Parts: sequence; C-alpha cells; structure tokens
Amino acid sequence: MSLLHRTVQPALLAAGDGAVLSAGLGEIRISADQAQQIACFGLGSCIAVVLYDDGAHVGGIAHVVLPQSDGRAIAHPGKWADTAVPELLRQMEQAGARRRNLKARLAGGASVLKGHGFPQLGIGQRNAEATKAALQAAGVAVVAEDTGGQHGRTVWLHIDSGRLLIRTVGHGEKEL
Amino acid sequence: MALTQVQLANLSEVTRQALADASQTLTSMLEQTIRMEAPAVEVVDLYGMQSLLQDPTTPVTAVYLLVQGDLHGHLLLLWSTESACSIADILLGKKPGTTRELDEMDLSALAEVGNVTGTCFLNALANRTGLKILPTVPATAEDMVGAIVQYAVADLAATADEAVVVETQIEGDVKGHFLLLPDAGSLVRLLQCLEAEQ
Repeated sequence: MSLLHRTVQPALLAAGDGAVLSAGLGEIRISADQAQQIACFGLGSCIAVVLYDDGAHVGGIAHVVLPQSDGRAIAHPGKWADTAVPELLRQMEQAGARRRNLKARLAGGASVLKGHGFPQLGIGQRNAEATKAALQAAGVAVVAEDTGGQHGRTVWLHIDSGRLLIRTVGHGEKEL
Repeated sequence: MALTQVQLANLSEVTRQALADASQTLTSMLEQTIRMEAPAVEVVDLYGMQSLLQDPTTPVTAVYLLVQGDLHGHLLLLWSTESACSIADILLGKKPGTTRELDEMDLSALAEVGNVTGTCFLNALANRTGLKILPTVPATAEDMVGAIVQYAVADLAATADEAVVVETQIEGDVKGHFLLLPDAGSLVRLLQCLEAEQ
C-alpha cells in the first residue's frame, strides 16, 4: 500500500455521529457547529493552538509549523506562530467568540527523532515558546498545555463541550 | 516550483538506479529478498503533505538521515512495527517472531540498516552527479508517521511552500517506505548536474 494519497483528501471527513474538520499544516479551522470536532492528526514539532469560548461554544485550532515569520510573505498566516495567533483570534471573533472569554490550550512541540547528538530542544520547543509569546501579546491566557517530550500527538476539540482529547502512540490518552 | 517532464524523468531515473543499489545492499544485509520499486517523484504542496499521507496517525518505526553537503534534505526509511521487529530478529540473530517491542539494541540495529541503506543510495547519487553528499548519523523514531514526516516538512517549510518528494515502497519479506525530500536549492543543483550529463 502506498504511503501517500495521489489526491488530497477533503478537509471535511465524515466521522461517526458528527463531522471532523481537519486542521492540516499551517491551516486555521474554526467552528461553531455543535456537532463538529476539529482535529490535528500526527502533530510532531508543530503546535495545535486551541482557542475556545465556553459562552458562545465557538472553537478554533491553528496548526502552527514554525515560530517566526520575520515579515515573510503571508499567504499562509497559519504557518507561523506570530501570524497564526492574531489570524486565529480574528476568525474566532468573526465566528461570534468574545476575546475576553477565550482560553488557549496548546499541544505538540515534540522532538520525535532520537539519535546520538540529535538536538532535542529544537523546532518544537521554539514553536511552543513563540506561540506562548504571541498569545501573551494578544492578552489570551494559556490555561493548559501538553507540549514537548519525544512523542507525537493527535488532538480533537469537541465544539459542543470544549473538551480537548489527546491521543498518542504508546504514551496514553489524556484530556486537557 | 514547476518541473518539466524531462526534469521529472531525469530525477526518476537517477533515483531509481540509486534505489536499485540500495536495495541490493539491504538484501545482502538482511539476507532476504528486498525490492524497492521505481519511485514516484512529484512536487507536493507542503501544506497538503499531511493530508497526502494515507493516515498520519499510523504507527511506524523510522530511521532518519539529515542530508548535507551539495544536497540538503531529509531521507527517511519507514517500517511497519511488524517489519521493524522482523529486521531486529534477523540482524540480532533471534528466532523469527521473538521481537515484539523494540529495545535500544534493536533500534540501534535498525538505525544501522537505515544508515547503510541511505548512505548507499546517497553514494550512488553522488557518484552519478559528482555532487558532494554527506549523510549525518541516523536518528530513529517510533511514532505516528505524520509526526515523523513533519520534522522534514517543517524544515523545508521555513523557506518554501512546495517540495519534491521521492517516494517508493520497500517490498519483499519486510515492508516499508523510502522517502527523500531535498530542499529547493539542492534540487536545482541536482537537476543541473543531470542536464549537464545529456
């Protein structure tokens, strides 16, 4: 079986009773649909920046790939921590969320490769730091995080409840 | 990044030959028949990379080589858990089916297989093109394929939105995948060498 699809999957996948919006690399996904979940599959060094308004029940995830845009062309604001956070906030507010109700949770930023002399404090950690700095600058509190370590993560945000489930390979399951 | 049909064909040809060398090495190391098929060479949108994976959450055992020198990029050998355990059995002289979980020794043996196979591939590429290609010491990972491939994608995404992916399946008694992701600058150098040959 091939590792790769020859065509890109649609972002919206049918999944059980609801539907799952997949936030791919550098993508921002927002939902106010109470039957939906937003997921990031196979996060390694990337960070899922999860915002949720528990009054309006609006949620969003930015799948951040790299820390600093350094003013590079912004065709993909979701790619960089410093541009993804303001864009995620803008889209959340547009979808009916109120900034003062927003709470942030973070997952990802791991170093999955292990080897002699291989830098463990690499891109994942810098992504986490840059994301936190951007959230702080925007005045949004980070209430929980599951970042760092040496394992990948898949995260699911349930829009109705705001529950954030994290699955791993061999490192258990948790809720943030 | 648009490649012409000729450029894609050149890349396919040179990587196919290098893969044939690498699969011979793999076959003699494992004393099993291993084939690496003709590679698929294509330009992919890095943002679509994870949705290109059949299932980014599939657990795999990976050996990763950072490629440096005139060719900068990422080389990955990805094995199913079952195949990784079989390789560990073969290399460490264990009865087939003994290894169920990989320990440090098993991972180290797998890293060596990846190292030799990857280096053989890169040497073939270097000999053919005259480029200086230097693999670094191998790293390993046992995790979701998406999380592992993301390491290479994040590095390439720092300077580009697209990349060329050379991918093939490893077939035979053990099964896996081979992935090469060169950066854009390296690709230009590689293509120039291939064109100069003609």
